[in-house]
Amino acid sequence: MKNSKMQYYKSPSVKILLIDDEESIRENIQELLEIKDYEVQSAKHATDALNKLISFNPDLIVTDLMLPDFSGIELIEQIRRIDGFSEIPVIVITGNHKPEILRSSMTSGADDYLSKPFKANELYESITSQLYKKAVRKENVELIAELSKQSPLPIIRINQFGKLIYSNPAAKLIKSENLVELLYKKIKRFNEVHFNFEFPFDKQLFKVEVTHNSIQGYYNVYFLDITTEWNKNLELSQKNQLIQLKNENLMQFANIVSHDLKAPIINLRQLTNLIISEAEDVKYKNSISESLIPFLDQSLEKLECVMAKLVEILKGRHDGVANKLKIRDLRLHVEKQTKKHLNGFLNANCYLTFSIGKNINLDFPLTSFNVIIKNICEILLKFKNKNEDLKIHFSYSETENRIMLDIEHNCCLLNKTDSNETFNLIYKSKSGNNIENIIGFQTIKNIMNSHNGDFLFHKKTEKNCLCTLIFIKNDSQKSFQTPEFYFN
Amino acid sequence: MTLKNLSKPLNFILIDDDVIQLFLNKKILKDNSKISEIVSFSMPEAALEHIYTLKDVEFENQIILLDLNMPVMSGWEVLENLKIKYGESLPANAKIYILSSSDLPEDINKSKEYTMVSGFYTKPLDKLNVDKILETSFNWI
Repeated sequence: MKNSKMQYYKSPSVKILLIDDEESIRENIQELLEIKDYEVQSAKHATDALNKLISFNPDLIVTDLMLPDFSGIELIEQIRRIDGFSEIPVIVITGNHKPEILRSSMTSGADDYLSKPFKANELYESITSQLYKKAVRKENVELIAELSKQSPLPIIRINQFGKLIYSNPAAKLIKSENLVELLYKKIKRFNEVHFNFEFPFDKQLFKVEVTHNSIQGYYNVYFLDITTEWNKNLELSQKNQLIQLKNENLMQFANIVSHDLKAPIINLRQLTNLIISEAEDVKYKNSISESLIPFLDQSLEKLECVMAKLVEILKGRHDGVANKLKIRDLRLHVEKQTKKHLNGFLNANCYLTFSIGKNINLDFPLTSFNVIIKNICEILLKFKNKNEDLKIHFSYSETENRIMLDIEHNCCLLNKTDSNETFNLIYKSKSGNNIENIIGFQTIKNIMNSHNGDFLFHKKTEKNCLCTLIFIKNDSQKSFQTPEFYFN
Repeated sequence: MTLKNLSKPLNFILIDDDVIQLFLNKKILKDNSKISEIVSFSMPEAALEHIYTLKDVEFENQIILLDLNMPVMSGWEVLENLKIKYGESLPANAKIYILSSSDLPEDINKSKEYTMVSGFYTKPLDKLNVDKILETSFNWI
């Protein structure tokens, strides 16, 4: 090792720039250096040194710390910023022995220092050592350059001052002037020997592996292009987000179906049950509550809102499900289905008045007819005969001790084939009560109530389209003309 | 059924954010001749305020029908509030029944964790449910 050091020491080609403002010291050191065959140029202040730097192109600098124009430390910092001199060995000589001055000169880029007065050998040894280090550094750079030349991965080396000192051919693909600056800013934050970080740059993402040579002060930076991998991860994470969104969507859908949708349906079901039970309940015959109609309406409205919400959620899936789904107009559908009932409900508190002659009017609460009206509507829907109206003809008559109610209709004429069945359909009762209870009893009772009469159901006779209900009465009254009404 | 119970009116408190439900359930309960007073609340907070004003004696023959899924304060929160105020059971052994559109086992099981809850009914309420509630609460039918 000593021999190889000597090689640099004796090299006649070694050029040294010497800077000192004191002429005697400058001449003295220059003499010492020239004895050893170094080619020396001297400068008496920092500006002079900077002027000679490029033209002389020294291999090493020996400088005093206390210079007249600006300090040796500032000079070193300036030299390091000049291309080609960022790595040049600098030996400072100083009469100031304060440790902080020495520390600051070292951190600003000095490679060694000598305290005045120093011996000639100390100077020679320091020079030899610095030249040796420089040579090793150069060898290393060349070696790494040789090795990394073959590497498909970009490799660069940055010195401790943030200067690019080497880049392999692959690294030249990373085109950017500020890449090194950006990298160096990032690298400076780390204090470890080995570290890595992700480095996004110009639509690319690199994993940067850094090794720090703390002795020689440079950083080897290896780039691994992870853009494709990153894109794949990004794609996966986007897919993942989409799945999560769909899951949330599904949960929301399930929640709406299990609760929001249930609520109006339960209300509709309960309202319908209530209306039916009231329609069939004697107690409510005069008072099927009109107040239920707004609730039906509200429940339908809520149902429509919920359905709209569900459609919106399905649209959010972006998979076309919503387009395939044809939600029919719910209200129209429900209203169509309930039309046959709805008229009865709406007129629930109305009365049909029949003039039956002799200045007597009979008021029939429509509730009495709800069941029959419903059944008639059902039959009408089945007949599909638009040319003829369904006609129900009531004729009321009395004998001395009997009251007769004839109910005649033209269903058998509209559809002769199943007249009997039709007739039964008209008078069927959902509650299973017989016809006498539902129509005859209630209707006659209403009539009789209007006349302060009293009666008992006796029997029913049926013949084709005519049904006669016979009641026994206590007092014989008058006979009546026949009322009649139509359904379209 | 005790004579004491007979002498007291049977009262219901309905708590549900759905006013249609309140209307319908009130209607069903009114049909039962054994029930004398029905108070309904669409805001659970207001219901709690009302309950807190009841004297111990007024809790006798008191039944609360409580919905679970309500936007501002859930049925569970109502139960927690009652638990804080009265402990494990209500004064005079008043009963709480859950009346919910939910039939999820987790809801049913959770309701069982509350001693003050006497039963869980899935909407809609009907006359049979009411009879069952009266029967299980006070042996009335």
